[in-house]
Amino acid sequence: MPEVDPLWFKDAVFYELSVRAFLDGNGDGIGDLAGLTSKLDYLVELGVDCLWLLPMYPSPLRDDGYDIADFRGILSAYGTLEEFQVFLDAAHARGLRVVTDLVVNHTSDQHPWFQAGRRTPDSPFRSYYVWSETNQRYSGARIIFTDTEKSNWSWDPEASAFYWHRFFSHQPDLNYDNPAVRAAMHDIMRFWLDRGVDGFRCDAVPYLYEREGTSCENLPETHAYLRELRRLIDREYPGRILLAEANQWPEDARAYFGEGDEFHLAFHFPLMPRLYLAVRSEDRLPITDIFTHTPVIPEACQWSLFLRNHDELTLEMVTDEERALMYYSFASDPEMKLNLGIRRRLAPLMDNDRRRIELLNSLLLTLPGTPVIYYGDEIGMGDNVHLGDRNGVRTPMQWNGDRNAGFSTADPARLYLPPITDPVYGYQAVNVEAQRQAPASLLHAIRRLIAARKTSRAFGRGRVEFLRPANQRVLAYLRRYGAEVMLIVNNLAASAQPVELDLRPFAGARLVEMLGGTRFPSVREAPYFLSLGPYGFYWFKVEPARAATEPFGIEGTVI
Amino acid sequence: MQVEALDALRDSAGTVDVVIGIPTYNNARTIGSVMDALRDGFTKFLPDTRTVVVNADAGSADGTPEQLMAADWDMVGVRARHASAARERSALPYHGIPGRAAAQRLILEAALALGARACCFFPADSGSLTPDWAVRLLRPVLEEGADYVSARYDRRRYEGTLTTGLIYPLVRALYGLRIHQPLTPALALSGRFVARLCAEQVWETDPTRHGIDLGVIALASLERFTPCEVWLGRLVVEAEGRPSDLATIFSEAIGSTFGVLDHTADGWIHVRGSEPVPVMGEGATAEAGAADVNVNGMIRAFTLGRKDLLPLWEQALAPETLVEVLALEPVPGEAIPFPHELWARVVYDFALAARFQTLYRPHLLRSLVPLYLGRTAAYVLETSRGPARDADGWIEACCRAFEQQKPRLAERWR
Repeated sequence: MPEVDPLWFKDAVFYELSVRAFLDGNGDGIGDLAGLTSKLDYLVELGVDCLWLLPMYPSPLRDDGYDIADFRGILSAYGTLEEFQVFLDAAHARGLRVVTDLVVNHTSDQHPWFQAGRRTPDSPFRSYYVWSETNQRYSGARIIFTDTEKSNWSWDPEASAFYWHRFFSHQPDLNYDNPAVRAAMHDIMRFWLDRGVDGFRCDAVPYLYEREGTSCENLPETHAYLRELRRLIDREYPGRILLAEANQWPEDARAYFGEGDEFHLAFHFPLMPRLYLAVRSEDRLPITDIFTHTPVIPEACQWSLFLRNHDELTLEMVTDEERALMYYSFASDPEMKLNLGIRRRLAPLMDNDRRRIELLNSLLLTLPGTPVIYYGDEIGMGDNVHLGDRNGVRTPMQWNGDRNAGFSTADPARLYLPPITDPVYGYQAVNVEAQRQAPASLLHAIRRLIAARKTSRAFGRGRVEFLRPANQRVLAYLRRYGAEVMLIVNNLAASAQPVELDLRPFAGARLVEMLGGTRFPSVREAPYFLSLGPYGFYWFKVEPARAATEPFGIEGTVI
Repeated sequence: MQVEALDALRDSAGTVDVVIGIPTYNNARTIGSVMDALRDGFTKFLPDTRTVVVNADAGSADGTPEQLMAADWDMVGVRARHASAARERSALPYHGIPGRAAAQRLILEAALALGARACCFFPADSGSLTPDWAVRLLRPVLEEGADYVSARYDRRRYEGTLTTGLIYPLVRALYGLRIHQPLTPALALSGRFVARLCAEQVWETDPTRHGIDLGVIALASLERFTPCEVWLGRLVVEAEGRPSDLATIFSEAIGSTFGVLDHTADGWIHVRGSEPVPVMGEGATAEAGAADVNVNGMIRAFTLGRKDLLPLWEQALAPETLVEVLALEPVPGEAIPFPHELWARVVYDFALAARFQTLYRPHLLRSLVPLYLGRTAAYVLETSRGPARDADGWIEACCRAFEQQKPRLAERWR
């Protein structure tokens, strides 16, 4: 067995997908593991390295699987444990890693633990959850799903008590003060790690403990338990990873890395809306500012970056003014708003402007962090805000122009959700098969960007250094790793922009544009002038003069 | 210079023994010392020789022709401007003279028009030219019946590795003449050889763009003109403005070498083995040591080339050659096992690829550079600790491999 690079996650490109939405292998209208397995070659072709599977556990599916009713099984509509193993082995055989979602904070109210606990006060499972005779405890905790929930407590008539839930009322929070719960979660992780999964994306990690007089978020007890989970990984499953979903400001999210002894990765939530804001306002400040406020993280840790995911584009981490601008710019129809966010996909958010979509992907793949691509965004899939909740961004993957977008052979009426059919984003216009055949398609453009990213570890592991050209509409930065230096220049504006970059430290070096291999003029002491088309970007490899034409000591007398 | 002008010169100059050809381009820094050395040499060693100096200039902007003509030497001078491509004037070729072939042709035609018994060429950018160079080059022609006198230079070990490792073995195997410095800026030709060269129709073709050096050797071999080599001492040139990156130098020099193969295939294809050429004078022993050679850089370039250029090599190399090349595994600090026979096959395969245009020519030529560097690294690592004769032995073994493998080239050339 080749030795596993423990930092593989820094170089990887992640791909988030839902088994339910990817491909229906048995014609029942619901995506499944057999279907997903049959599409692994497509993912290899795309160039991604690690798949992040949304919850695939048995569940009543009232929150798209985040309401888990059995941590050790597979939702029957998706397949069986054996089929999961086949899928996992097939992915590994292709060099793909697989990270599964693990909801550590809560379960479904249909979970046997909750059912047993609510019925029998003496049941050992009663204390697996947080019960109270009053709904006034922990009043400092905010309500997250403001559109649907009025309180973090719900009354259970069978238990004659209130139970605590930070999310939907059908998702009771687990009680981590109970050692049995902590041990149970260890065993659940071992169950999947023993099967070969490469790690977990841990859902809703800031909320594990409750303490009076606090916001019940980011508590020291939570971090202590997360360190326990990390120790388990390091001790028993080295090379596997933990990815934190902690929708927090960077300084709070930073805590989830600990001293390199908690999560390997954590999403950088505040960056994501600022990428959109920067493009909308044609100003680099939102991006450079958030990096200014992003603390240094341990060497062995990494931010995880994303443009869109299965949830709404969350605007919790922006100011009221910025949120207003985001709503004004990207959610003209009130139906597009959900909670404190916008339930739309990348392409519609960008008005299907190919240049802006590529620009945002350029940022995603070159800013410091591990990029996560949401399924379908690589072909510019659209959304359907009328499907309720966040279902509009969870529609079937559009494989071709056949019935049901090639997703399923089932009667269209049986599909778990209807595919997108509108004239702009409908599957007849936007699908994998068509884009595969068109060399200039978005799919191929994303493939090329991913391939270019893979040519240098500077993108995954290098430090970032923002340049400060006078033109605020241009975002330029260096990525450095060892002797490798990359220069990324992005035009955030809809119009062509000139920019002069101070590249004096690289005088004599040559810039090689990475996507086309074009050699640009050498850097001199004078400002380096570039012009960029609307939303244009350059990825340059900075080749030191010495490296570009390394002298061999024979040139002057070689003939 | 126009033909009419040459005719006029012939009428006024009477019989001319020697035409001294000096191609120039912005050589003001060195032309003075070159002219002084030539003047001293002719005055001392060839005082009775009737000489005309023909300067073919590519359009110097530094007053080179004026300086040349102002030399303190009682001689007849002809100043002419030869044609050259603008691209060569803005980015000098490896030899430093834009339109070098046109300059050579102009000088040869002047020699022909003047009925000269000999024509010799000297580099205008050499700081090491000494007064005896002229007599060394010309005496074999004027007194001993030689038609073609090629210079040999004293070189430090690992100078001229492109010549010793590729051009010399290739030219020797092709034409059967052991001319050690095929691309020399100093040479002498007999009047009858000049007449034959002027009748050649290859002047305007691209392979001769950088000069007719190989054309001269081919003609000398195939039409039995009498060759000879003379030792001249060190050759030091003023290289300012010339390309400094190896890939450019390499592709220009090897590009024209491969190009000449096409024009002379009818002749070389029947040549087997090689003959030594009479050598006049003594050369100095090559100094030991490889301190100035970046062997590790060469190995890195070879390794990188093997990784990045495989798609090109697949098209250029025969499958069995490619397999052996890919099996070459440099070990840090140790020699690369790059056998002479494999190197010969590599070069021949690339020559064939150039002939059959299997790849865009500039890409083809540049993709050979890492292989050349790997081979040169092997040469340095194997010979640097031994005496100079080890290096000479390596070169001789390489030449024999080129000769042994030549039937393979000839067979596939058809």
